Parts: sequence; structure tokens; C-alpha cells
Amino acid sequence: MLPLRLALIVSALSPGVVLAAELNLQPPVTSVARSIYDLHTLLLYITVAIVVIVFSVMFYAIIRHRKSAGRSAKQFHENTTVEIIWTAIPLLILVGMAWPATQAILAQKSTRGEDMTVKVTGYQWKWQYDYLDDGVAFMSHLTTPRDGTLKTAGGPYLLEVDEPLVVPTGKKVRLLLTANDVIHSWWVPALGVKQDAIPGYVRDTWFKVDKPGVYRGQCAELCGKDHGFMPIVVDARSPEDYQQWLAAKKVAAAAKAEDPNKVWTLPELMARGEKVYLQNCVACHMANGAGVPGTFPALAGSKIATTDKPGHIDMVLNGSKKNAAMAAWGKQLSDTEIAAVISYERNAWGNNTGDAVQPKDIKAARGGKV
Amino acid sequence: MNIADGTQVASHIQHDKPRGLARWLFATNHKDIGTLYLWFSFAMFISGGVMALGIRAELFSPGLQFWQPELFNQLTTLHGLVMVFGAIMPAFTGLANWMLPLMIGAPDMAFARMNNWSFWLLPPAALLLMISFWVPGGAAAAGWTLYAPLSTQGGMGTDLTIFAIHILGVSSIMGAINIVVTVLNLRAPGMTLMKMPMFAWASLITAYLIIAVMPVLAGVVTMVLTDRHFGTHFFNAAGGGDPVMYQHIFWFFGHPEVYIMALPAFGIVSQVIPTFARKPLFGYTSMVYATSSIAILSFMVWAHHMFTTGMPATAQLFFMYATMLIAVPTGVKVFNWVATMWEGAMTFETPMLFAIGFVMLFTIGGLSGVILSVAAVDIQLQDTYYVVAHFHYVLVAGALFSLFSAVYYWFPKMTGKMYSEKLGQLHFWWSLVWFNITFFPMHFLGLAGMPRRIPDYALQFTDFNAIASVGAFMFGFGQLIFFYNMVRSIRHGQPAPQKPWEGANTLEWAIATPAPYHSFVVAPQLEVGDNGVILEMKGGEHH
Amino acid sequence: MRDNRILLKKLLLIACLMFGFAWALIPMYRVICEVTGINRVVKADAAPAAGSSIAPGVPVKLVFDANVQAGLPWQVKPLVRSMMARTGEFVRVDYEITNASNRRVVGQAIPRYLPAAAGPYVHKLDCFCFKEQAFAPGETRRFPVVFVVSRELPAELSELTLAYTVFDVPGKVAS
Repeated sequence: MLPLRLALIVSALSPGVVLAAELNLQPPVTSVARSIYDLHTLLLYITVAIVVIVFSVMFYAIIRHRKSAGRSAKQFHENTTVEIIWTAIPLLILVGMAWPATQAILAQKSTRGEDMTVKVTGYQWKWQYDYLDDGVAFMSHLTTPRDGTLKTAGGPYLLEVDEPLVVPTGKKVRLLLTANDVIHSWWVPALGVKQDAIPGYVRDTWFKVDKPGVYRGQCAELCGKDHGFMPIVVDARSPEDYQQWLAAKKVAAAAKAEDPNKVWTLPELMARGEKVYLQNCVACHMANGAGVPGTFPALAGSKIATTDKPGHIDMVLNGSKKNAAMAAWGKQLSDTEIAAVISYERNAWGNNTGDAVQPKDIKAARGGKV
Repeated sequence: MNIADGTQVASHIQHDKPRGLARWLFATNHKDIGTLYLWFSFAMFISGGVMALGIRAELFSPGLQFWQPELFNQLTTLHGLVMVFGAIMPAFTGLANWMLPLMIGAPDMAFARMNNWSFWLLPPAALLLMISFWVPGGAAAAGWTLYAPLSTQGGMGTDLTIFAIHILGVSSIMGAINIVVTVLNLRAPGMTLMKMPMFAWASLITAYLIIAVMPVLAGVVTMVLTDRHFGTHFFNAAGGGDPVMYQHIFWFFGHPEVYIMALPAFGIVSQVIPTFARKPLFGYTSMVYATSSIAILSFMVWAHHMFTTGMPATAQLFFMYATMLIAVPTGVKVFNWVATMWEGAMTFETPMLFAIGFVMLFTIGGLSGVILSVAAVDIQLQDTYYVVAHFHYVLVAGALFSLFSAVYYWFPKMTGKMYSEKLGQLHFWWSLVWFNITFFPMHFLGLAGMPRRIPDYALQFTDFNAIASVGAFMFGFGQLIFFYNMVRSIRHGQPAPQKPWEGANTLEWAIATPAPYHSFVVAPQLEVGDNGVILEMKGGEHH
Repeated sequence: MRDNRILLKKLLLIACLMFGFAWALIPMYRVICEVTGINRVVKADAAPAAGSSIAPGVPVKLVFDANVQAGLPWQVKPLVRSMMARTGEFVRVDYEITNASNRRVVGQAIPRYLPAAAGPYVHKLDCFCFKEQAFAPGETRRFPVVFVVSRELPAELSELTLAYTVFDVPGKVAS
């Protein structure tokens, strides 16, 4: 087992990309990130200089002023002048540091004059992006398979998502951040943006990407079990490409409103439902439907997933009244997706009820309204 | 005066050492209680260390090898809580218990029975923390900071943790009251405040910090508890609460807490360096003022832990400037220690090695702190491994190295035996090398963008994580050298002279080795120089 | 011995009084909240005197948004995403709320401002956030929000975002 794993690691390391940029901040692509980068470099030089000076004095003393070198100790223990000097000098250095730091902070905080606004909502454990000006909204999930094999779905391990946040270059993008459950933090190092998303509150931040590219980050605030598995991918495209993407996205959104009266077969529902389950439910209820004992209830063999069908639909649609961790999925998923995932849950892992829940059942359960 | 009289009467009645279990269970002697504290904190250090190795084992390579993410989060949470409240704080209280009365000429701690209680609260609290791993839902997993509303989600383990924090808090507050009263009321004649050892000053100021902030922590975790079970909405926006308020209250405790773990270390180093440089501490008065100003400033900087919560620019600027200001008194301390070494006649026994290691690594940790204090840069580094590296430089190389220094320094006085110098030096060099191999690469990980508290990571972080994991295991094994050295030396060590260190000149070295069970039953008349240097001692009586 | 007994009695009496006081706090808090209105989450502001009679103030950019917290099966959206207005004039924006579930749900909206410092300058005259709103299954309603941005608004706050967060009112779900 171990040699296999080592072999895997070695093979993973072999591309040169992996070793690049491991020592310093990621190459900045926004003015804010650049100011952070430069500020950090400046601070690094100053602190290294301080370390060199203080340590050389100390090591000089350690080497020369030792008993074994035949020294006897001088008994001085005060020198007001020296003490005033070494209080004043650090103070001046700090004032020198504070000036550029203040400039950088004021720039970071200036969210005005945006070209577009995207609302970012943190969920356990995924991100939702709402393009407020264009009415496009989607969830962004990790796509790396979670079976511990270090395989990816075609992107960097753990830093790949199904739907990246696509933004135009050269435009000031304002983010409005909030969260649905606990505090998350939206962080993309290359953009120089890290902002907590706080449930029940709204915060904002901004960035303006200079050059097209894909920039990756992660949730930075511990948000529970899968905190390490909710990456952020920002795909910056030229304004023209962005407009194309946006148009395609709007068409796709219209198409997504599938015919709610279509009757699906059980295998169709199962296939679709498994996909929905793996995107939304697997984090808590686990791939085998067994849940996490004591924290997240099992679905395999559970009463609600084998007998109480209306209760099951209600639970998925409206969430649990007893356990806040079970969200109301009616807001996030379409009728078809909910019908599919319920059918999947009622027929997977030995829950062979044979129930095929149809989108129109869900529509009825919603009370005829979306 | 009443207190001192009372203690004297008690000690006259009880001449003999009690034997067996009762000696420890009903201990009222400051030396016995100090010993209990030190062994307890060592046990906690080992438990917290095992958790750390669990974390590092998982992070040795990408992928999930050993733990599921929820258990990983429990390990990081409990590692932090156990190390902070179980290992470092009790160790400093234990040292203060053992050495303070000896250093200021007091017969015992002021409240001997409360002292017993403040120790014996610790084991049940530790037990609550440990058994929480086995309750349904597992231990608390919201990080040692227990941020709401994540901490309002957890299982029963979170409740156990909250109760444990309550108990640990009560214990710390009682210990702190004892230290304050002892230092202020029980100093021997001649041992004035501006002459007493820096260690006494540091313990006194730390004790004030503890009394000021532990109730804040107890309050905020109680609010989490009532949010969890009694329908309050302190941190739930749906009921008019504010999750960020948790962070404000927590860090109002949390930042002074950092200095609760650092100031006693400053005190220890300020005793050890003069002894082995054979020279008085440079700038004693400025040291006292620097320590006090650090303590005061520590109440004004809490929100620098929260720069990413989206504070207004003015608040960020205020907390940035205040935080940078702390670098000034801290710098003064480092310069004073270097000036104490300057033109001295240094020897490098184990305590001195650890003290020098402390000054070096604490300086590095302090300077990475200055970088973090700059809010603009902190936006990029908050919640990354850079922060992990920073606070381990301050707490492992800072607090822990100073504790090792102290234990080696006072070991002869406590036990009457000499530790093995060879093993001590091996322990130092081993710890120094592997500490840096473990924690230095974490700076790079943080800069490159690795968040903290994640059980699995992107492949570009593999190399440094592997190095850090190897370093952590080697560092961990190195602590067995320390354990072996202590146990073997207590049993078979060479008898120690009354003053094993040529340059030692504070009060504890003016009495017999090992320290008599009841020391300074009658207070001596002292003539004292700066930093507790004893110029002349008359009288004093021991049993 | 007698002293001890008297002391014990006194201590017991004090303990009883403390307990009684704590018990009496429950109705006392209720009365205090009713009299002072502390418990009302959002209150209506008084209309500023002579709102539109004098010359219009400086232009302000307004952005509107709304969020719904977990557990509340509502959809809330402003009908206008952003607009330009002037300080001192009445602004009206409509919000549409839909209860997307098949049960009666009670919600409470709380206004949030970005930047937060702009909050005190927004005087709300009419708002669905003044009280809890009950929705029948599937019901959709529109609410006007009417407010005035104070003329005292500092220049650096001249772009402001009003984002409601709508919460489930605990214990009022059924019925």
C-alpha cells in the first residue's frame, strides 16, 4: 500500500508545474493582489534585515563573550541613551511600514464604481454565484472524485469545479457575499481577495482581473466537515468571450426549465438522481446512504426513504424542522432534480421501493407554484 | 498579615510530609502542587502532541489516508485546546507555584487550600475533553476558536468541551488570584516590587490578564451553550444575533491569551540569560514597563484576528496601527536580552541553550507577526499555514522552549539531583533542528495558498507538507529524550549542589537544595538588587 | 452556634430573594420591551420634514438585493436591481415574495446596508420588514419599500446597497 502511494506521489510531482511558485505568494493578476505582493516583499526585506542585524550582534556575543574564551563579565546593566534609541528606531520603521499599508487597505476597501455585481453565497460545502445584473445563477461544486485515489476530473486535484465563476477581464467586479449556514470565506490568492461570507449578513469586496486565465482558490474559514473540499475557480475571459458565455448561459437556463409534465421512467430518474445526489447530498448522507452516525442520519433502510413518501418529498423540498443541517432544497433544485433524487434515494442501497416520483408530483407538492 | 500568620501556624502544625496518595490528593504545599501541575501539563503535552502527529500523518501526502475529514477537524480542535489550556497555561502556573514563593521569600502560596482545588479541577476538565472523542458525533470540530455558528451545529462533544473550558477557566482564575495575592502580600522584607525577579513580574502581570479575560471566554462559550440548547440567538442572525459578535468577544479574550502564554516565557528567559551570562539583566526597569505595556496593548488589538470579516477601513487601520505598536515593547525586550549577553562571560548549559533558542525563534515569530499585522497583507495570509507557522514559532519555540529552559534551570532546586547535561543538550539541538524543519516550510505553504484546517490538499503543496510531517514526528520523538532524562535523573541523578549555576543569584539559590519542604517559614531580611538579585540575606527558617 | 444559625437563616433568605427576583424578571422584561419597543426588530422612521419641497440633493446610487436564510422556503427579489436617486427625495422600490412551499410560513426581514455606516442615513417610511409576514402556501405578494436617503449622507457613502435578509420566525411555522 505504501509503495503504491509513494509511487503515486512521485508521479504526481513529476510535472514541473507542481513545484513552481511554491515559495512565495501566487503571481498577482489584479492591482490589489499586486499591492499585497509588493507590500509583502518590502516587509520581508525589512524583517530579514532586522533579523540579520539582531542575530549578528547576538552571535557575535555568543562567540566572543563566552567564559571559555576567557572573558569575565562586565557588570553594566543600564544605558538610557541606548534604550531610547532602540525604542525610537523600531517606531520609525513601523511608521514607514504603515504608510504603504494604509494606501493598500484603502484601495482594497474601495468597492465603488463597479461594472457588474455577483452575489456569492457560501453553503456547506459549495458556492452559489448569482449574476445580479443578468439573472444568471448557478452552484459551483467540487468535481474531484472523493474516493482517495488522487484522481481528478480533468483539473488540478481538489481545485476543480463543475461551474467556475466566469468574469470579464478589465471590468470591476463587485462581489456581495453572504452565507446560508455557517461562516465561509471566499479566497482566490491570485486576485488578492479574501472575504468572509457571514450568514444573515452581507459583505462586499471587489476585483478587476488584468489578464484572461483560470485562477483557483479555496474556502478559507473552517466551515465543518468538508471545509477542504469547496474550491473556488474564477475563469477570467475577454469581454467578448464573456458576453458569448453569458448568452449561452441564458439559453441554457431557459432550456433547463424542462417540461414538467414529462413522465420519466425509473431508470432515467435513477441515473439523473444519482448525479443530483452526488452533487448535493453525498457530503452528509455519504455515497452509501449510511450517513454519519450521531451527526447525519442514514437514508439506507430509513423509515422516511422506504415508507413515508409524502414526508420524504416534504423533507427534501422544505428542509427539516428539527435539524438545520437539512436545508430546504426546493429553493435550489428544479422539480425534475428533486423528483429524480427522491426516486434515487427510494431505490438505491437496498431501498427497493420501486417508487418513481415524477416532476409533476413535486410541482403538486409545491402547491402549484414554483 | 493575617494570611501570612495563618500559613505559618499551619506549617508549624504540619511538619512532616504526608505520605502516599493523600499527599497529592490533599496537597496544600506549593511545591507538591507545583509538581502536580508540571506532570499534568506534561501529560497534556504528550496527548496534544499525539493529536498533532495524527494531523501531520494525515497531511504527509495528499489524499485521505487515516482519518475522515470530521475526525481530522476534531483532532485540530482538540490539539489546540489541549495545548493551550492543558499544557502551556498549567505549566506556567505550576512553575509559578513552585518557584514564586522561593524567589520572593514567601512561606507558601497565599491560599493553600484554594491552590489544591485549582489544580484538582484540571484532571476532570481534561477527562471531559478526552472522552468527547467517544461520544456520539465525536469531539468538538469547530476549531479551538469554536466560532459560532459552526460550533452551534456540533454534537454533544461541543457541550463537553464548553464545560471543560468552564472548569479550566475557574482553575486558571483561582490560580491567578493566588499568584496576585502571593506576589503582592507575601514578599519577604526587602523584596520590593521594583526589585523582585522578572519572573515574578511576568507571573503577576499574566495573572492579571487571566483574571481579566478568562471570564470573557467563559461568557462567550456559555452564550454558545445557550444558543445550542436554550433557544437564545446571540450568534444567530435569524433571531437578531450576530455571528461576528462571537469573534469580537472570543478575541477580546484570545489576544490577551496569547500574552498569557508569552509573558511568563519572557520572565523565565529574563532569569536564565543573566545567570549564564554572569551579568545583571540589562534594562530591568524598561523590562518591567515593556511587559506592562504589552499587557495593556494586548486588550486593544483583538480585531486583527478578524481582518477578513469585512470591517470598515477605519477599524482595520486602528487595529493595524495598535498591533504594530506591540512590536516596540517586544523589540525592547529582545534588545535587552541581547544586551545582557553582550560583554558577558557566557556558558551554554541546557537552560541557556533553550533561552537563546527562545530569543532567536521568538524573534522570527514576532517578525512574521509584524508582517501579519499589516491588514492588507493579512487578507492574503489569514487562515493559511503562514499563520500556523507564525503562532507555532511563538508558542512552541516561545512558550515551550522557555518551559524547557525553566525546567532544566530549576530541576536541581526542585529535585536535589542534576539532570544529564549530555541528554539535555541533545534534547535542545534535536528540538531546534526538527522544530524548524517542521514549521519553517509552513510559511511557504501559507504564502503559496494552502488554507489551514484542511485534511487534504492540492498537489503543489505536497513537498513541504511531507517535510513538515517528517519534522513533526522527529520533534515528537525528541521529547522522549526529555522524558527519559527527567525520570532517570530524578531516580539516579548526581546530587546537586545548593547553587549549581555559577551566576545564579536570586533568592531560590540562597537556600538548601533540594528546597526544604517548608521553606521561609520565618521570612528572611533581605537586601535586594534589580531582578531579585540577593545582596544580603539574614534569618529565614525552613523545615 | 446561635450566630451560625442566624447567619444560615439570613443566607437562605437572600438566596430566596435572589431566586424570586430572577423569576420576577420574566414579566418585567416583557413590560419593559412593550413600553420601549426594544423587541421590535425594525422600526419605521419619521418622515423627514419638508421632504421634497426644497431643491433635490446629491445623486446616490442604490443597489437592491435580498437573501433568504436556510429553512425558509421563500423566494424574495427586488423588482429593480439598482437605480439612481437623490438625497432628500422619496424612493420607492418593490419587492416580490413567494412562499414556494406547501405550508403557511412566517418570516421576518432585516435590512442590511453596505457600507454598514450608511444605515443611519436611510429613513424607511414603509417596509415589509416592520412586522412579521405570514404567507399561505404558494402565495406571492408584492411589497413597496419607501424611504428617504438623508441629506446628511457623507459623500463617501454615495453608493449604497440595501440587502434584506429574510428569516424564518421560529415557533410560528405551524397554525
